[in-house]
Amino acid sequence: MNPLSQTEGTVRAPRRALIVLAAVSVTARVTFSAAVDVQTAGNAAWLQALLFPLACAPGLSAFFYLTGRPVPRPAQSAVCVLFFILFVSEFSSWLYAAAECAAYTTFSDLPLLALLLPALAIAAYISSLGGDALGGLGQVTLAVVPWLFLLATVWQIRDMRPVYLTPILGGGLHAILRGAFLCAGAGLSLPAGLWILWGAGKEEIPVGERRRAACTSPLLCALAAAGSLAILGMLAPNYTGSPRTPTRAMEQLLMGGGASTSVQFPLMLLWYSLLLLGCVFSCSSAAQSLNVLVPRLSLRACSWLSALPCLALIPVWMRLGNARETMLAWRWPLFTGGLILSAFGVWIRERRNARRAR
Amino acid sequence: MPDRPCLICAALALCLCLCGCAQHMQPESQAIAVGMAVDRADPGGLRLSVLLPESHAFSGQGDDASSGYYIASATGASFAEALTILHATVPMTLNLAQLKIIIVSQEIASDAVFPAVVTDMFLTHRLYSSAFFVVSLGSAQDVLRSQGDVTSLRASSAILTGMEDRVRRGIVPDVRFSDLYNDLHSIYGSPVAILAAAADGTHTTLTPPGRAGDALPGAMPREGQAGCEYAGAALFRDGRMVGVLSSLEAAFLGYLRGGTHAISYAVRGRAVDLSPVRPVSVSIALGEDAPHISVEALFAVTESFAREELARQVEADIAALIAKGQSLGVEPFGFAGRAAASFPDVSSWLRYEWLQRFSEASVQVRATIRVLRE
Repeated sequence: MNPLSQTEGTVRAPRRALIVLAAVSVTARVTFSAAVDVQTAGNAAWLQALLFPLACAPGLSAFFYLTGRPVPRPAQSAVCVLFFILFVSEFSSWLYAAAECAAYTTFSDLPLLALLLPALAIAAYISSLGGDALGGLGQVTLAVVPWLFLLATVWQIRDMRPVYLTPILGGGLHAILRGAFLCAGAGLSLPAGLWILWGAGKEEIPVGERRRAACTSPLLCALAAAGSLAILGMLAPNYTGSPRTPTRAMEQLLMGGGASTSVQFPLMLLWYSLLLLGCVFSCSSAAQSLNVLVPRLSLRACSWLSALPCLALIPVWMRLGNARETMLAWRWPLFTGGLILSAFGVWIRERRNARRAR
Repeated sequence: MPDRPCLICAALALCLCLCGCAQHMQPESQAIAVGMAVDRADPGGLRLSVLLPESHAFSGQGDDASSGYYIASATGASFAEALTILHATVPMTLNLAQLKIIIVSQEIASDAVFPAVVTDMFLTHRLYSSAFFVVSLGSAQDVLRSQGDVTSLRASSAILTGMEDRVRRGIVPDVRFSDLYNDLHSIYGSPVAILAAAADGTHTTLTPPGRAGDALPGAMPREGQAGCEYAGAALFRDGRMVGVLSSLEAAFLGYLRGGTHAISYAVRGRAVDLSPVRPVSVSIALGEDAPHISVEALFAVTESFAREELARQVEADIAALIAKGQSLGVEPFGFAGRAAASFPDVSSWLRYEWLQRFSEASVQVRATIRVLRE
């Protein structure tokens, strides 16, 4: 059965494919959040990744409730406005990270705009193609990325030191729990993005797919991100001193802790493709949010209207440096709040309908 | 399909933007440094030297006597300043992404300026962080200059081949620049570096060699074309070099850090190869005041000759090596990583003050020698 087919009987396939896209994107987001944006837990970042589904529980519960029933228009619009803003800022953050990754490859000799535009164009173009392209992208990424990661891991296996993961709690329990919530802010883009890409509450989603999206996928994402972070943690020791800037932390990911040139190539491919995937997912979610708010706009117009404002936000990310952590702390309450707000709106409508029926 | 032109344009734009298609990025426009050396400059500051290939040497147009490499250097108050001057004075674009070796003189490594030099190197964009990191007893530039004196191989290949062979034999530790930088800031033990010296011997403090493995670089009993010698390790504490290890001590250091390479040894004047049967077994009991460290070493030899004496000698050498580390206040043996596992988090581990406790630790070493059956 072709998962990208549009024939009847395969209506569920694109939703499943979108789950794959969202899950891969969220795994990458959580990994990057723990390795680049939030460094206070040290090499115990893998524990942050394991715990983030717990922090996502309120949002995931609201998502599970929401996707089982149509959402009233006012709640739908309010949440779409919120998610549009969030996903545009997410897109700009990922776009900047992708440009920094490309800058590492190109010796930083190219202007930032030359590095931003290809990623922006690709993300906007793919999101303008809609569900089939997104689903296919997720499945292709899932087929390729683990092998790249395995290749880079095997190549560096002699440099890995399990002792670097000790002490087990790294920066401390408080730092881990705080980091788990920050990673949950990244992880909540899974239910938020899926709710939008599945039609923003226009139809009921079968319970199997809701369970897959709300329960199974976050757990698998947590395991994959935790495993990746544990492997990364074995490449460089816990250190004293100030946290590295996001730029230096990104270079650490690309260098693999000082890797030889031969392994940097698969590492660059791996991280850049994951960053591009994150860009596509964010852009698509933002575009679909805008499409829900303004149905007259075509998906292509929405994609470009979502992509271009990101360029204006790039200087913000450049200036933030280590202050990104403070700004990223708002993701969790805003995503959770949006999902719970929408669920609350649905619950109020159902109570009102029930009262009228009596 | 109407979208195909967009797709093609996007793909082309991506390729053009990422391939660095500009004149200054062409290989002929790059001055690709093979090695780098940092020395103290007179009257003050740092002298930064890089080893660059002469382009005419590879085109067959130059002097036959030319080694094919030349040294470019610049002096500045700091590493960053010297590098800026070097960028301005080297013809073409200086490229540090292919460095194979970074050499720092003992004078710089022992100075308070060393951590700042290492940090400046780390922050230098695209300075290859997997280059071997070497401390030279004497002028680092002399050691760098000798890298170009090769007969048949390119210097980059010769450096890599030679270093990897020495690491495999345990003569020097496997230390890259990123390892040194990480270990300077890590919460675990103390960093080490590879030790080297120019071979004329006038730059070193000679140690009268007893066994061949006790000789330091620059004083090794040999003749040949190579202009420098690599053997042993440099030890660091609090960001400064505080001591050296001979090649035999470096071999046992590698073993204590979990290495399994064979160690060239001698007993009663006869050479033996000690092959580790398994990685060293270390147990650490953290006491209230000082920890107790037990080391169990298991080696195999090919013939049964003075096995008991050999075992006692190995125990004494390992114990002396650990005692040397304790007296210098360094712990490069990898014990810290094992001890840290007993603590819940980094804060409690740092409060334990491992280096202080290690210098007061009681150490018990037990070595067993087995004979391999043919």
